[in-house]
Amino acid sequence: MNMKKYIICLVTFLSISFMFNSCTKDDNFDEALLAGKWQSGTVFFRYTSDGNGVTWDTADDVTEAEGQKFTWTLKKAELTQIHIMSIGGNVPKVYTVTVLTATSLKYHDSFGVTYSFTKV
Amino acid sequence: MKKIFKRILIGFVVLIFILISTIGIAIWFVFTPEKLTPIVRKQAAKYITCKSEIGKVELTFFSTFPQFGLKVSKFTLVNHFINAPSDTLISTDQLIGAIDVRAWWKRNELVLTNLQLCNGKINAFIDSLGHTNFDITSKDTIPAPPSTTKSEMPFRFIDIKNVEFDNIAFNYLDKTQKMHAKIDNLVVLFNGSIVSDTLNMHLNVSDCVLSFNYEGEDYFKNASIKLNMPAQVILSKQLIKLGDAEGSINDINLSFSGSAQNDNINQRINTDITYKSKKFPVTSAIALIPPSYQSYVEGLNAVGTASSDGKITRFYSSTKYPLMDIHIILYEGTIKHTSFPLTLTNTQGDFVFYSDLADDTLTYFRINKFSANTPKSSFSTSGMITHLFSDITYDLTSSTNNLNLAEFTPMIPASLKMTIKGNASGTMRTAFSMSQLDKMLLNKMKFSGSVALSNFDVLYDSIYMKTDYSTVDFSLPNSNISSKNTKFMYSKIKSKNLEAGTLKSYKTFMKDALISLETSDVMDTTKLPDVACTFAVDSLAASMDTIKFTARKPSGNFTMLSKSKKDKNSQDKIVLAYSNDRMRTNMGSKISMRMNKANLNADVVNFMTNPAIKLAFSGNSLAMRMDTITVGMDKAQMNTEVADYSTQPKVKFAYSSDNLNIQMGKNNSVRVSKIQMNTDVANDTTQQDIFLKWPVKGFLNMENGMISMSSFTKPFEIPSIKMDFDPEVFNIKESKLKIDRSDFSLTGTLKNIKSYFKKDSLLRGNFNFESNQTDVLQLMSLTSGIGNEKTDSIAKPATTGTTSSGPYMVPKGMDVTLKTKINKAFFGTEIAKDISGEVRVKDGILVLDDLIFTTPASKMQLTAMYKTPRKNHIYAGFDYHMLDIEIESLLKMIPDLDSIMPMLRSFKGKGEFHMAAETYLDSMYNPKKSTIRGASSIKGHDLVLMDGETFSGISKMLFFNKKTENKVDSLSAEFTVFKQEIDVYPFMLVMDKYKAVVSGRHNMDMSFNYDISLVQPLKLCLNISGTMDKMKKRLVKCKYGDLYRPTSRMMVQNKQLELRRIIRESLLKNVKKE
Repeated sequence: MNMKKYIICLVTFLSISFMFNSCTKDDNFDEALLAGKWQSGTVFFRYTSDGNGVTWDTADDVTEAEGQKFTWTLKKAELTQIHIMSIGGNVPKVYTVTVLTATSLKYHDSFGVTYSFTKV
Repeated sequence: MKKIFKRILIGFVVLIFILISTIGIAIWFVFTPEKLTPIVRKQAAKYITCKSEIGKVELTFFSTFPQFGLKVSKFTLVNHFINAPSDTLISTDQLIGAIDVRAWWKRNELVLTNLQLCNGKINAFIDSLGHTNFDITSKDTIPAPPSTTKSEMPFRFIDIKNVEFDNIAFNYLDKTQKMHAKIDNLVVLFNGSIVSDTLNMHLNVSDCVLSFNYEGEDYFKNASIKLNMPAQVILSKQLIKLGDAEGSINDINLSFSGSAQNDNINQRINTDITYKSKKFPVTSAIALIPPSYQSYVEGLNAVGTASSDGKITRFYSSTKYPLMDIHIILYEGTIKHTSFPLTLTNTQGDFVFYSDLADDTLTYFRINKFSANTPKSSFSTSGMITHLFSDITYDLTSSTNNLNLAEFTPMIPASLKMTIKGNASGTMRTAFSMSQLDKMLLNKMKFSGSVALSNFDVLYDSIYMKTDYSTVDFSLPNSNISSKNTKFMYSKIKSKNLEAGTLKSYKTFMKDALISLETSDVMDTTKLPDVACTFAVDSLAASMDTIKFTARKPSGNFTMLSKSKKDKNSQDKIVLAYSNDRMRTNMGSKISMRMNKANLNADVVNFMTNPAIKLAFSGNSLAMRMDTITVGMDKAQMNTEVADYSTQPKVKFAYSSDNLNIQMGKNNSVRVSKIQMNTDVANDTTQQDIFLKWPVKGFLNMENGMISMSSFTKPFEIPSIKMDFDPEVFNIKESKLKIDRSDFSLTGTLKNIKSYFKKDSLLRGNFNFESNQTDVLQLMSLTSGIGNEKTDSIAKPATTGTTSSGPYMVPKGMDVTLKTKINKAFFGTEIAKDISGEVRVKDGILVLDDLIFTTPASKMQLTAMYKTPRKNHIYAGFDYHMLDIEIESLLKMIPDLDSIMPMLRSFKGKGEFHMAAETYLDSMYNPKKSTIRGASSIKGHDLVLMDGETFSGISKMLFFNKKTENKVDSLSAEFTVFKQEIDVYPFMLVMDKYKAVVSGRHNMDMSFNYDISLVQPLKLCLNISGTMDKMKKRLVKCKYGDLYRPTSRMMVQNKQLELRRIIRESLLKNVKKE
């Protein structure tokens, strides 16, 4: 395949892909539903309405009081959690929420890893 | 001549014959009894009022030669008198008498000669009203006119010669005086003459038996009396002057002289009689003691001889006795008394009894000398006994050359359970009264003396004392006063070998001891006695149960003074000065102490109420051992002062010594060549905790110390420490320490110590820590766990079966900052140089704050935090900034980075690296994966891309020119770690004409998923996923093709850049500007 054909093929594929991606789903979730304590197995997240939260894993012998802090924002379906290190420095994590109800929370990251929580 | 003599002789004989013939005719023929008897009876009846019986009266010449006399036989006077023991007044077989009639007739002289009474009896009686049975002469019926002149004798001269009583019984009963005298077998010869009113007489009682009772008391009972007494009696003065008289009572012979006078005016008899006895048996004298006084000699059996002389002066009346000055000498005698188990032999004495039997102040009994022997002992006594009628007072000095004490053991009451052996010699003075003795008023009694004890052994119940030779000097009251407060008693004991103790436990042995003791009144129960004691002992050994004490040449003095009642400003006081050459004590086999030359001075004031104590101790070569702990020191000096003991004690303590050596077990030791410490302690009574109750301030100065501990493999060397401290603040002025490879000097201040213990405040410290080299891990292990709880309330037990001592626990309750300046620091195998910055420990948090140091890889800035809220939940976080580091070295330093960004392995060159990460660890230091957080930013220029297998595969997929140099112009990337996810945010690689954006995720299980978007010269994107062993590569749609083209960026790409900015800015915020 010469270079020209290769480029034509590439442009064709790209056009097709643009066609499929031009109409993204534009979900809105109520961030008020996020406030509270969520559990997934031994992992817990507590979101407070002021945009702060803590997370802990009881499997690692950590209690809520010892949980690590983060801040969160939910814009439409994008849930951004910025985990704050005590030593300084932040670790941002961005997820796409797929389900947010009073009892259920599901989201996934850009690598396709999904997380599912129930409110406790 | 012969004829003349012959004629004269013949004439004389004739004359005698004529005279005798004439007398014979007169006696036998002219004055016959038949003629004389009626005349005498008639005359007797005329003058005598009582009945008289006169047997026969005859003239006698030869019986009364050279006078004519009358001889009356069976002469009796009978006078019936009520209550008289007998009606017979006088009864005698024969009465002879002669009166010089011519002298009576011509010169009015009464010359009575040769009056003889034989075998008669006389009963004189005076009844209770004073009527006498011998008042038998007829009274004048015409009352005599009152006498205006001095009474005169009816005769100018009376001469009585050879009045003789032979075998006369005389009975005299005077009921007015309650006196009864009875004399039997009286043989007496009396001569006398009266001139004017003076009778010169000579009385010779050659024999009689006398009984005399006065007021019911038998003073004589059948005593054999002899008397030869010349005397002059002045009748008008009723005075009798005795010549050199002699007499005897039983076998006691006396000579006496003097005078006695009846003083009618004062109703008394004045006496002045001197007497002297010959030696007499003591038993005879004792027998003369009236019955009522026999109780004094009851049980006494005295054998021997004695003599007496003396004077009886002054007067005798119904209320007074004459003054007796009686001197008694006791010769060889033997005395035994039922109350005294020993017989006294060879007793000799010289006594004086001086008394009027009434005046107590006048009376005394003086023992000039008394000595006696017991079977094994001898002693002598002298002195005075006064106040015999009231409070008998003794002042005696006794001495002995040898007193065998065992002899006197039977005298000790059995209830005392006391035995005594040995010998005593010496002198002792005792002066006391019986009342003082009864009341034990020792302050009023006097005892003094010097006693030598040899082979002395006394046992009282279970307490004993032994000495081979000791001398005891004592004085009560103190005759050797060294202080006005110790007047009561003095004692000095000098002993060669002295042993004392109890049979079961306590024992003391002293050799060549000299002890002197002075005290105030020990019987005064209102105060403690004042005591002054000095002692010097060549060697001392004492033991009590398992405690043993020995000392060489202990000496010193001890003074105890009580507060004076008079002086309100005075104080109780104890002063002690003690020293010994060598001392050793031990308690069982595990505790012992020994020292050479030691001095102890103590001064305690107000010890009864609020003691103020000063102690000064100095000792050399001190060595103590308690079980496995030994303490040794040279030139030790300790000074202690304690004030306000009973209220709020304040203690000042100063200690210094050389070569302090403390050994605890085999592996723990402290050695200090010089140490000096001064402390002030003020008791805080409001506190309970001992550290808070006794807060200490002062200073410590220590040189050349070495501390070895079993828990630490290397010893601590302490070249020097100088520090001030008080309850709140430790101010370390200088401290140099060496621990194995670490050496450092620490200066600074530690505050809030008291508040820290009270849990009111954090312990705050601010120190400068300077070191040439420091082993950080070693130091951390030293401080691990201080202030932490012993148990972890939440953590489950860590892995069992290990010998781990647990994680390093940061001290709590303190805020300590070390401003470090370390030339070289070891972190395990890593070495850091030129470290400066602060290390802070705050309430369980350890912070290395902006520590700048140099490692072989780079110059670094590190902020690290280590928190230990509990053992199984340990926080570790760091903030690393390496501004110019070889990536290769970076990976060596942080091997885990290779897992997070494996592509770094493919780069070589210098870069800028920032990283912050944190995680919680369990007690075994295993990260709790759910808590891992991290963010990193790396930036590099002119990096060389290593031609690795991975890069070859990638470059082939992305159609890199084979000729392309593997050089990276720039690299700028951020990545984060969250739990097990490592997200690499899109970053651009620029190599030659190629630009590529790389992003992806790496997981802790070493799986990954990366997108590589080639954006120049063409857009081509590759996805790499899987693991290194099983890698999938495929072309995919480009995610970040326009990432670095702002106009073309999509929202996701902008988000990614925003996140990178957040990460980088949050990291760079902590970079310290140089």
